[in-house]
Amino acid sequence: MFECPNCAHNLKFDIKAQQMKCDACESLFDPYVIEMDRYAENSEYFETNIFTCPQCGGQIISEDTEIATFCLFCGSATILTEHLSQEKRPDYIIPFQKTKEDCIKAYKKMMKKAFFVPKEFKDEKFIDGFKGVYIPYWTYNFHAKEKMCLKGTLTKQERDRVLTEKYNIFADVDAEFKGDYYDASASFYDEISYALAPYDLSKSKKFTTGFLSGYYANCAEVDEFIYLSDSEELAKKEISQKITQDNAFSRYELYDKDKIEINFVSRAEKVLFPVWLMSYRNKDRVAYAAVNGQTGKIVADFPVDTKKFLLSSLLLALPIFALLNFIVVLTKAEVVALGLFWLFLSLMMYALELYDIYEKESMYTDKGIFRQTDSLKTIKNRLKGAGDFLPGALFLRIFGFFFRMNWIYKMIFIIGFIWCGIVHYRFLDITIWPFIIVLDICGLCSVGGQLMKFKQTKNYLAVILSTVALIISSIVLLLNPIQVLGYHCATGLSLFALAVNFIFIIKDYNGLAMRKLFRFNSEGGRDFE
Amino acid sequence: MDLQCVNCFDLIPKEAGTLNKRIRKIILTISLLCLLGWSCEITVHANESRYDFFIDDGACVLTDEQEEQLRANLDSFAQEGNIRIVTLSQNELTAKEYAREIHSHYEPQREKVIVFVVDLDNRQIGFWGCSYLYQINANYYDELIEENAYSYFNDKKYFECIDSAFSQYKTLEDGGRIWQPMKYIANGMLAISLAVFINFAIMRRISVVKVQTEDERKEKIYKRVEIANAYAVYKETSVTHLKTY
Repeated sequence: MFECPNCAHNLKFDIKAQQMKCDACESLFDPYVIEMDRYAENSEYFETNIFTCPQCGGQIISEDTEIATFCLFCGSATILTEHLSQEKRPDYIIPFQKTKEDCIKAYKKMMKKAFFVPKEFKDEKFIDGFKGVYIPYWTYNFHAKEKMCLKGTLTKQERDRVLTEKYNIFADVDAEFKGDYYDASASFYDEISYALAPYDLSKSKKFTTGFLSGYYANCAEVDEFIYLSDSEELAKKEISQKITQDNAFSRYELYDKDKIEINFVSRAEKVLFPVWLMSYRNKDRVAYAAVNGQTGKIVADFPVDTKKFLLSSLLLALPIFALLNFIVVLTKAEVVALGLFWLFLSLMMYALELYDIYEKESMYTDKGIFRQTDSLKTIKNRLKGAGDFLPGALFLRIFGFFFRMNWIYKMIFIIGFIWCGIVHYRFLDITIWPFIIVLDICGLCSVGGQLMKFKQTKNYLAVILSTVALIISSIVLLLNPIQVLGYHCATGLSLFALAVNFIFIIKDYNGLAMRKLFRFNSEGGRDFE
Repeated sequence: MDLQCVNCFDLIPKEAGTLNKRIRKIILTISLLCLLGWSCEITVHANESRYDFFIDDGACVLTDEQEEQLRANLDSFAQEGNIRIVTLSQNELTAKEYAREIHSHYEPQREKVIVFVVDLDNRQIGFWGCSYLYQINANYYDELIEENAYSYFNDKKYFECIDSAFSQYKTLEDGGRIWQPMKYIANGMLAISLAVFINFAIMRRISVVKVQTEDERKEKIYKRVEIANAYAVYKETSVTHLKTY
């Protein structure tokens, strides 16, 4: 804790002034000067308190004991274990530019369009829970100064022949690649850190502990070598491109451009980036809201309150129902076919959602967490698994391609589909029914396949009900009785199965919107579940 | 009253020709018996309009009084269009197909044609006539009339079944509404599904965060390349001869 030289009260870093400010006398001090007074000599290390969460293993550097009862990364109200530690000093820091008020303002603006979030997300007390955290990043700098050899040709045409002259082109190259950064925190999800980017590294300052006063910092748990190869590959690619485009070689036609060898000297620097962070925990899942402390860009998870969602859907359905009564008439068989078609759509939506949840939970793209595990093979095997059997997986990929396409193409497709329906009117014609039944079977395979990757068995209710609805509806369509009762049963079953599918879709959507907590065992490693 | 057999495709010969008197008497006797035996199949052409009005009770489900009542009830229809009511005890087609076949003998675009078939063999009824009222959805209303009349058919109240079908048609013709449960069920299902899909799409859309692209990320990285003392060393020459024509 830094004390004011004038009145011995707490000094905290003030964002607006970009200096340390006393709570009591409001005096301003240069953080570098304050640190020099605190530390007799420049040291590679600095002493600080580290609070460790017993739930998720997240570590927070802080001199503020308020953090001792709440973990910022998993949202647990728990006692954090504290210990004093000598931490290696980061090289640079980007101080906070955006205040907490700016952060809250950005958050509230975003929440205006979050119609279905739980009401706690809009509660003032909850919103006040934003905390300023410095997240560690590795920035990689590459430098190469060497003689290079490139291969090029000169082509000349003489009457009826073409002469191709081959040359080795030598040059002294001085290349530099600076400022590629990666998240060095295992507790902070890479997905959020990518979304918060960019940061302007030119505004970074030499690190001093004064900047941390009043804020928290996360420990760098990810080794610098984790991302080194990725960054080096990018550096080689970019520098090679710049070299080959240089005027010195413009006369020649270069070949083997992708085989240019550059021997970089690399250097990794630890930089602290400012983030305003808030967490919301619901059972074993956490939702985050994060604001870039430099630019003010906000990223937030939007979980769904199922009841709110269904109620608003019912309210929206009323005017649609009134409108449809004027324009839509369907025969009883077409109603059953339509029910099957909607069932198919709901099954595909559910299958895609499960696929996305599984991809997200596997975390294989998050190297910070991924590399903490022991078994790469285990993770790869989990990504495969029985859920990818044909035809479910194949069909899922085709449908997923449409579902993920640009919204313009999607609109063109939907409008085309509706136009065909209007022009030919009976797009639920008897000739289409077998096709719809086959689509439903593919949808069932897709959902069943994805569910096999998860342990929850209750979700199979969606598959069972949809299968029953499909069988009954197919029988009714085949027999085509005059009596309406059969059609009512088939339609009712389809509607019920549809409702169950929707409920599962909405409930499981929170698996996508929120993040699974990772447990931290006593040895210090992490178990991937 | 003209008598005309519909199901019998052979006409009754008016004269026995040069046949023996005895044979002529036998034939006349047999003919009379046939006429008496098949009296239920005799069609009634009750009106004097230019349109057809046939009640072909082949399955004998209507009494004479009921037929008379039907004729009286449907007289107004008969003045404006063709009516064919058929009851069958044997049918190789479905009731709907049978009705459609009869309907196809007319020109429904130019004149009103209403066909109602009661099929005891397949336990079905078939109504075909709404194409005169509706350019589109005609099939829907035909089926709707069948559905609403079917309960009488199920209870073997054939007269009420036929009468109900035509009274529903009259209601539609007069611009009224008839009971359509499936319409509201279907539209309800459609409305709820659409509402959920719309809300889900909104939810997914607002949760999308703009992430900087790879190119944007590369742009922000500092890159510097300085080339000096560049020189080329000759290796070899390859020759390619061009084809001359």
